[in-house]
Amino acid sequence: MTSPVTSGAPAARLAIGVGGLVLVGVGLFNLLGIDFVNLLWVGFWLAAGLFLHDFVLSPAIAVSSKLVARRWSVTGRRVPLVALVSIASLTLIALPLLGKPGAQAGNPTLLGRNYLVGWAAACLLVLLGAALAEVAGRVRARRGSRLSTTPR
Amino acid sequence: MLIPREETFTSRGRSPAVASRVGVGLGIAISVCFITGLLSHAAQDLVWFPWPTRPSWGYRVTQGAHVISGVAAIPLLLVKLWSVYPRLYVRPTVKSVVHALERLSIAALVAAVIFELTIGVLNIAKVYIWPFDFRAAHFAVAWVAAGSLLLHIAIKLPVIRMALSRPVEADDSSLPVSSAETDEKPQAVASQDPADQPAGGGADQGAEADSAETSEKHGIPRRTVVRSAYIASGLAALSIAGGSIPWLSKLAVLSPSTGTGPQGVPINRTADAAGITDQAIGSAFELTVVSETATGTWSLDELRAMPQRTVALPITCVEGWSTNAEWTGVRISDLLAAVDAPAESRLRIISLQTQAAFGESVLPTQHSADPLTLLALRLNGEELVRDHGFPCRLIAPSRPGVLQTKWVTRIEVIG
Repeated sequence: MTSPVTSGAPAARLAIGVGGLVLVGVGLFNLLGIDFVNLLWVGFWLAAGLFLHDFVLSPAIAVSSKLVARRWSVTGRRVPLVALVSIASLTLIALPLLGKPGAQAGNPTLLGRNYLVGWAAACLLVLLGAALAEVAGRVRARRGSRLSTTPR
Repeated sequence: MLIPREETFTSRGRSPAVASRVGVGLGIAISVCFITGLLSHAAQDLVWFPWPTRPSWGYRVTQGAHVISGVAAIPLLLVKLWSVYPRLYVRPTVKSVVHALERLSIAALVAAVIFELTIGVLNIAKVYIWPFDFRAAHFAVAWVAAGSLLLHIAIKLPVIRMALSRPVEADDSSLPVSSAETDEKPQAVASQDPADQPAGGGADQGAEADSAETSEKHGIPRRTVVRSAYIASGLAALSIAGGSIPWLSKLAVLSPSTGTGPQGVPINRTADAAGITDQAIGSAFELTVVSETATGTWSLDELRAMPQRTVALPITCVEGWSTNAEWTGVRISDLLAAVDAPAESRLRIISLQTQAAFGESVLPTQHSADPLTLLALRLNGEELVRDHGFPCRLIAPSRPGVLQTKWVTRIEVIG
């Protein structure tokens, strides 16, 4: 019987683990090069990201997906899931661009796109793709059920 | 019930099967991002590192890959964390010292990766809402993120192997999800090790069929969750990739650069933002080149009278965008010859700029000797405009844009 703790190539696990510790050590060493006040700010941002994910974003997703689950059937939720994950990701990436707070006066070449329109167009395309996939899925399902009920 | 328990989350998608499959993509994206980030650091800050001048588009590829892989990691991270979120509420919270260390390493990994992706995306958008130096913090925490990822893989490797070797919809409720549990359930784990299974994995195939049916009844199939993560990742990458890949430019709705600007090239820092005055770049302008044995000075007209070379080189910003352009000017090696300095000299390139960072840069020997490295006077057939570095600027192959110093006034041989 293979020992569970040692299963999965123990030497490889040990090497990967030691490598990981070395990299973390290099990171901590580099962090010590940052002055104390700024280091506190880095710590604050690290903790804030973790907190916002674990206690704001994830509970919100869990609650909203419960509500979605009550309204839609399982089959009906497949394509919307792809669309929702895509739109949520695009929105997170677009957020700091939407109001162009980083734009520089007199330099229209950076942050020069209309990000609101671009983000909305991307989301609409995702929804359109999802709708087409849904229709195609239903057509396939109907054909499948017809074939299975046709006497041979 | 205010505080949920692990059992509160009933979706079958929240499983080692999904976590492992999405985790593979996330691990690849983070690895590419980390390695290309290190390369960028080497190109910018490590004078001793022989950053190559060829291919001339090398930095364009590595930095483009850095930004694209970072953005592509965001959806994968969201779905990965979603799939393992119930583990946050496992009871008891800490079972042993090993379990505590394991949870601590996961907290470090999640915090570091969220930090890196967040400030990375904000940096692309030029939003600096923190007091610390972006580059120093991004670099240091990247090591923590990469190291924590390796630790996480080392700890979870048996679970990852088992989860990946079984069909995605197979029942994995008996899989151990932490090393602490692996310690507690040796028999169960050992019996599920793929190496211990009979050839053909008949039991798993049966489980796959049953579980696929169960998933239809009780939740979205796991493969749909995995596909969602990868499709979203691809779309996120596509939304920004055109900043680095010109033929995708029209699709890059979230790229910080328009891909064009005066003389066909975007501007990262304008002359006004750099504190360049009309007087500094007026008729009194002189370029000074200093070697150990000689000093030479040239007016703009004298520079124009020197042999002119035209090269096609991309210019690449560290924030990921890049553009091809045709540059015309004097070879750096010709200027060095005029002051009796060898072509393979390490140089300090000094700008007229009085504001903002990167007022000077160090040009390594391999770049100064390269025939493609110019002190450019013209861009795409026209005299440089003020915002592109008039009267003259550095352009060298495969070099970060922040080091392509504009408004050059002095070149010193330093080694």
